[in-house]
Amino acid sequence: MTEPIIVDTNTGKKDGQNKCPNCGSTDVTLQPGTGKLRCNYCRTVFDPPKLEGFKDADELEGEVVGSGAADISQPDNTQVTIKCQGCGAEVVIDVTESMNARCHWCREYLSVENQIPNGAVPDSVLPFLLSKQQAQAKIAEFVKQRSFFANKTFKREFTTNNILGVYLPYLVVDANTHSRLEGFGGRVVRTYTRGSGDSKQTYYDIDVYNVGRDFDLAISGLTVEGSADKRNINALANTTNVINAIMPFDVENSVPYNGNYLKGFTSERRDTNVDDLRPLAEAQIGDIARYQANQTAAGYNAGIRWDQEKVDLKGTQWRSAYLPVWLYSYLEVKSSGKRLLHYVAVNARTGETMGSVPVNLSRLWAISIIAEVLSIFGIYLINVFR
Amino acid sequence: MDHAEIILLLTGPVFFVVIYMKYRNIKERHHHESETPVQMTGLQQYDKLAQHLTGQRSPRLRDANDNRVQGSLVGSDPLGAVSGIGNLSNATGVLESVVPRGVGDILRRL
Ligand SMILES: [Zn+2]
Ligand SMILES: [Zn+2]
Repeated sequence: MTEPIIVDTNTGKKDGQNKCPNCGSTDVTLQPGTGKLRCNYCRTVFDPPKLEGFKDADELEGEVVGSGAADISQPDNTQVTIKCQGCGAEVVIDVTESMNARCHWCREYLSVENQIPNGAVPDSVLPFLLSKQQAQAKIAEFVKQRSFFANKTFKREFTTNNILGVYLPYLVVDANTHSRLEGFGGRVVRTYTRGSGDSKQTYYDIDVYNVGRDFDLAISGLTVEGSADKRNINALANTTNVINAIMPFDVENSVPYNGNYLKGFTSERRDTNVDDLRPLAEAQIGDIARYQANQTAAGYNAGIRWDQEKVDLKGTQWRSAYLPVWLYSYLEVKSSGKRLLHYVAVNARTGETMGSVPVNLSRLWAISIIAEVLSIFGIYLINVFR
Repeated sequence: MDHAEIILLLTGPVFFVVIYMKYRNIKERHHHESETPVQMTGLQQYDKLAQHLTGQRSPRLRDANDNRVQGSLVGSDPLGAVSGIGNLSNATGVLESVVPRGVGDILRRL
C-alpha cells in the first residue's frame, strides 16, 4: 500500500493566547445560535475560516488523512505547558480536563491549538448551534412524552439543570468507490388464494430476474465514533446507542479546530486510530453501496438476493472532528443492585433527540397483564355470542 | 382459532414491547446506509428474466438479503424486536432484566 497523503491542519497554530483580530482581547467565545466566534470585549463576530486541503469525494485517489487524525501515541501525556504571552508565566493545562485555562497571573485566556499526539486536538470542529436552553426544552419534551411508565425515582429526580455540552470525537470519512453487485431479484406477478374456509391459503407467483448493477459512488461525510466507549453498544450494559442514533451531523459545515470553540463545553479525546476503524468504515461503505443498488432496483417487490457484492475503494479520506452533543444522563440503580446509565442526547446542530428513560417495570407489567386479561375476556365474549 | 382471536391474545405482550421500546429505544441507531450523502454516476445495469416460480407461500424470495446491514454497531437479529442486540444469549439477558424472577425461567424453558 502506498503512503497516505497527509493534509496538514496544524501548521501555523500556536498554543497560548488566541486573540481577537480586531482588539487583541483573548475573551473570545462561541456566539450562541450562529456557530460563529465573538469577541466579548469589542463584540466583533468572525466568520470562521474554511477547512482547507481536503478533496471532494469524487476526486479522491489513494488515501488522504488529516494531520489531526494521525495515530495516537504517548497516551499518558496529558499535560501541556503553555508560556503566557501576556506575562511570561508558565501555565499547565491537563487536556483530559480542558483545552483552555486562564493565566493565574494576568487572567488572559490561553488555549491549546497544536495537535498533540494524544487525540485531543482534531482537524476540525462543528460548533454548537443549539443553546443550552433549547436543548433543555428538547430533553424535557422527550421525557414528558415518556412519563406514565417512567421509573418513580427517576421522575422525582429528573431535572435538565445539569445537562452537559460535550464535543465528542469522530472520524469523518469520504470515499470514492466503484461497485458491482449481481444476484437475483423477484417480482410478485400474481397473488391468489386456494381452498376455502379454515384451509384458505394465499399463494404467490414470482418472476425471478438475473440482476446486475455497476456504478461509481462518491460518498461524503460518513461519520464513525472515535472513542471506544461510544462504539461499545450493548443494550444490557449501556444506552450508548442513543448517541449513535442522533447522527447525522452536517459535517460539511465543519471549520478548522480553534480552542475558543470549546470554552464553556467539555470535550472527549479520540482514543482510536484510523487503522482500527477501517473495517467498520468499509462495512458501512458496503451497506451504502447495497442500499444505493437497491434504489435502482425498486421494482423487485419480492426482494433481491445479492450473490456478488464488489466494492473497490478508489480513494478514501479521513479527518478527525469534534461534533457537538447536549447530554443528559441518569444513573439507574436497580433493586438487584445493577446499574444502568441512561442518556438523552441532543444533536446540537439538527436538534434530533433520542434517549432512554428508565421504566417502572411493575406498572408496565401490571397494565400489560390487565390488557391481556381483558382481551382473553373479549375472546370469551366473541365465542359466547357467536 | 381465527385471526381476530390470535391478535387479541397478543395484546399483552405487544403492549409491553411497544411501551418498553418507546421508553428505552434499545433498537435506535444511525441509519448510515441511507443517511450518508452520496453521488452516483455511470450506472450500468441488466435485468434478465431467469425463472418463473408458481405457488409460493411467501411474497418474498426465501434468501433475499437486500435489507442486510453489516456495519451497524447496533445489532439486527430476528429477536431484535425484544433484544436490540446481536445474539440469542444477549436476548435472554435482556428478557431477564425486564421480566420478574420466575417468569423469566418459564419463558426461557419455552
Ligand atoms: Zn475584540
Ligand atoms: Zn499571563
